[in-house]
Amino acid sequence: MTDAIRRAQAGDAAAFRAVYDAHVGRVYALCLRLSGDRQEAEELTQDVFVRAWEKLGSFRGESAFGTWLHRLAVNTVLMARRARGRRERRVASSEDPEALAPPPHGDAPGLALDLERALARLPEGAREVFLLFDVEGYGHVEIAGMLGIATGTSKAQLFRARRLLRQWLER
Amino acid sequence: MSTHPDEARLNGYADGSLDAAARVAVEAHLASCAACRAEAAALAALLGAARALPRSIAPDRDLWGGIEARITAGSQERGAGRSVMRWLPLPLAALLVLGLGMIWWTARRSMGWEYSVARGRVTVDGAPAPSSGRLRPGRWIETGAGDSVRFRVGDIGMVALSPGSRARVVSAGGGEHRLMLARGAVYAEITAAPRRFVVETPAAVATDLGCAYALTVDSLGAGLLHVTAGWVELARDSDLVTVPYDAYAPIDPRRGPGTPYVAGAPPVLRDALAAFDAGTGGEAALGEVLAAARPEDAVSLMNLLTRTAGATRVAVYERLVVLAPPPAGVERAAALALDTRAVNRWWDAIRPPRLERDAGALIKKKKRMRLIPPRAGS
Repeated sequence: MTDAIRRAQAGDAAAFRAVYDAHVGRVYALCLRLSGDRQEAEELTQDVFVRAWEKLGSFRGESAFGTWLHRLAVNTVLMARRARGRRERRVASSEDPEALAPPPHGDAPGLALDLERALARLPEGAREVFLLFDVEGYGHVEIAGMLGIATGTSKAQLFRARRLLRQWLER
Repeated sequence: MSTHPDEARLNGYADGSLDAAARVAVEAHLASCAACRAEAAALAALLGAARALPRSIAPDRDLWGGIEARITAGSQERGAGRSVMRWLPLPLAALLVLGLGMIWWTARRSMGWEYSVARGRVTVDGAPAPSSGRLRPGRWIETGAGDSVRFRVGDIGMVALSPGSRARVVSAGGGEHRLMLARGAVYAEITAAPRRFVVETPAAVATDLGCAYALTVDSLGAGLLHVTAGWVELARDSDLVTVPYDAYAPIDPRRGPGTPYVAGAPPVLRDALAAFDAGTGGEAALGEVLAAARPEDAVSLMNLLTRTAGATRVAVYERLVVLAPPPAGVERAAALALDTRAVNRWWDAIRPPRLERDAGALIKKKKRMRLIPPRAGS
């Protein structure tokens, strides 16, 4: 455990600033990809660090601090997004994203969507599973636990995400 | 050639989650099948790109200020708490806090809603009830012809139950207030964060998104929602519609929420919407809706955008663009893919959020609850 973390655990906010500096990029990247929105990602990043400060006492150093913080960030983001209410729920994700009409070719001539942009277009459930499995490296059992879904659903969402991403990226 | 591996197997091969035997079998197939080889290579390329995404992205601005303000405030509060709790061993303190929390939560939930009879008499669980009191969760309240009753919904608003209604408080507190309306009409005025007030009916569930609305339902489950301020989400399972102020949404006993329409929508449009919702009108009904729609009817078309798919959605989109052009930055592809941000921005252009925020203030200004049944939607 680093000295900054130890001091932060003892209530030293300045030391926690150093912890924030060391990890903010990683946390923000996760929040940005899970939310698909910069402003929301900023708010979520702040939520994660406030929660980390509150929970710092429970970090005993058995795992790397980065791993502990990352898991805390995933949980915080998922919980916040579930609770955030109307703006996310105002539109229901299609039950069958494949049924969506593909954007016409003339819409953005010559511009292939890059992976980040394509990720932001995925339906929420598929995006969460793809990010957690393919980008962050969690297993289906863990993901199912985090999202409150069955492991079979996690796998189905993953395949769906990969299928959609390939469709969009290979056009 | 061996059998083509299915999608799950090919995905497992690409991400390395297959066991050794399955992996060998897939490899043997790939050696002789160019199509599957191409599939596997494309999947591998996607996974490679995903793994190559940058693990760290610097935010556009320094976020520390907001964090520091919150943790400093939190520390002060915690400091005050420590002076009381510091002599208790941690597990005991945790148990104490948990126990008190549960007692408080249970008490809140079981307290129910305060009511006062506005007119006539009411019964609770079939017995005559006092003219004022508290309706606890689980108990049925009924109003006869000419009777009406008002509820105070915790600290978030008021609900009026019209004559001829039967309703039950499902939960009161614990983050959510929920009413079951078996039949009759309610008028609700809620000034709270979205999703803290819910009315269940036999065929659909109305979730408050910060608003005032009237909801009627008959004994068969058919109903009508009329939103007068803010927004309501009306849903049955995953089928949901968004109903903004000055709009109506019918409820069908078998199919749940129907496509909303605004006050003053042409009868031909409403009839065509009903036929489309019922599945009896098909493409022809949709064509009539699109032909009859005026700019004000963008509310209906925005909902149809999310309730259709494929070429039908494209047709709705094309008409919407003419009637209510999307704001700058809302791209065709994003709207057709129902990208949340794109659709929300479009909604905001159609129904400006400023009015939404003002709804709470408007409601507070009212001196009395209105006890009017919702109009028929003309």
